[in-house]
Amino acid sequence: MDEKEKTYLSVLENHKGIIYKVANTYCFDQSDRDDLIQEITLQIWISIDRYSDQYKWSTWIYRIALNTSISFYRKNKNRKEKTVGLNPIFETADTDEQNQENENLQLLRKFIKELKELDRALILLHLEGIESKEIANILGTSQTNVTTKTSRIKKRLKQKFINFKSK
Amino acid sequence: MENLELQNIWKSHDQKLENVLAINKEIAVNVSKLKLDKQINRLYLPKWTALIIGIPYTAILIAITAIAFMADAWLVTLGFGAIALIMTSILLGYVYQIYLISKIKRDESVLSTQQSLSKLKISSSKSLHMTIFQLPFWSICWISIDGLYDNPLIYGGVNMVVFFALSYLSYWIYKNLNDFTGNSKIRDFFYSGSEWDPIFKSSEILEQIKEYQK
Repeated sequence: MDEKEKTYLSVLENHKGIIYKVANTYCFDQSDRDDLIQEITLQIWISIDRYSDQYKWSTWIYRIALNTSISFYRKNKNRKEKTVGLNPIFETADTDEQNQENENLQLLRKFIKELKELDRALILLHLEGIESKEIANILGTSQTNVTTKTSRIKKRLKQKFINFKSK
Repeated sequence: MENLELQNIWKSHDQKLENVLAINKEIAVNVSKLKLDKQINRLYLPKWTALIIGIPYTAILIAITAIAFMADAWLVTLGFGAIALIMTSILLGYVYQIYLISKIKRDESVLSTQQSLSKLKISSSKSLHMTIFQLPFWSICWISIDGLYDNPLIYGGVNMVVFFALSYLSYWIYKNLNDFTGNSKIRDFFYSGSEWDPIFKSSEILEQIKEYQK
């Protein structure tokens, strides 16, 4: 195993949660999610030589994962025919982790998936606990924009919760 | 519901996820290597191929225009000249798209990359649509000056009607193909949904990016 492969696998191992969560935010269907994870890991493999240590690995992974995810749905719908027919890169042990989610989390996921693609990216980063300065860096916008937008999106999400619970 | 609650709901899944998520390292390496060759050339290759074929084709059109000009064949000059001009603008579009591709490779921020990707998709489709404007000029290339002198009313009139009809048809098709907002039957005729979707979505993403740049 060469040095690039070692770094690549170590990056995947240390940031598998980020990759999985981003893919899960943009894909409902499990086979689509597996395809998207393949695409993200491929982009990481292609771009790893250009990684600059001016960024944290997590910032860099978020950028790649989000860019790939937002672009993914725009591809030809026939992509499944082109996908390499291998097992998924990420496996969720023997447990169906979706079944373990509590109702609130399922609702939150549902409401996030109803947002526009860029708003979805922003709220995902916010919920992950990333500071607005770093979110601005990942997305390529101003910190003020991040703060304003985050506040509006959170308000919308809370309203959706209230509406749902009051039914 | 406070901000902390939303974050707590989100984080409630994290620990469980970390525990159950396993990476299949062998597959991760294999997938990357299997798909790599196709991936690298996916964006650049079609653009460079179009340039390599388009440049000599346009050069031939320009040469025909120059020869026709020197031979005082004005209608041939006009027809081939216009076609050469359209082809040149299409080639310039391809140069712009190659620039966008190199920008995508350099830029890593989400908005900037998505903006370049969206512009690339839209520019690529517009370049393709521009070829439609060649249509009326091909009808001019073959008009005989002698025919016009001999029978200006009928011969000239018929050719003029053909030219304007083709001009309108080209404009109408172009306008419909570039209708990013509404439903167009012409667009549906030329594109199946899966081909149109990425272009339509690119336009949507550009709109979303505008909101983040305010």
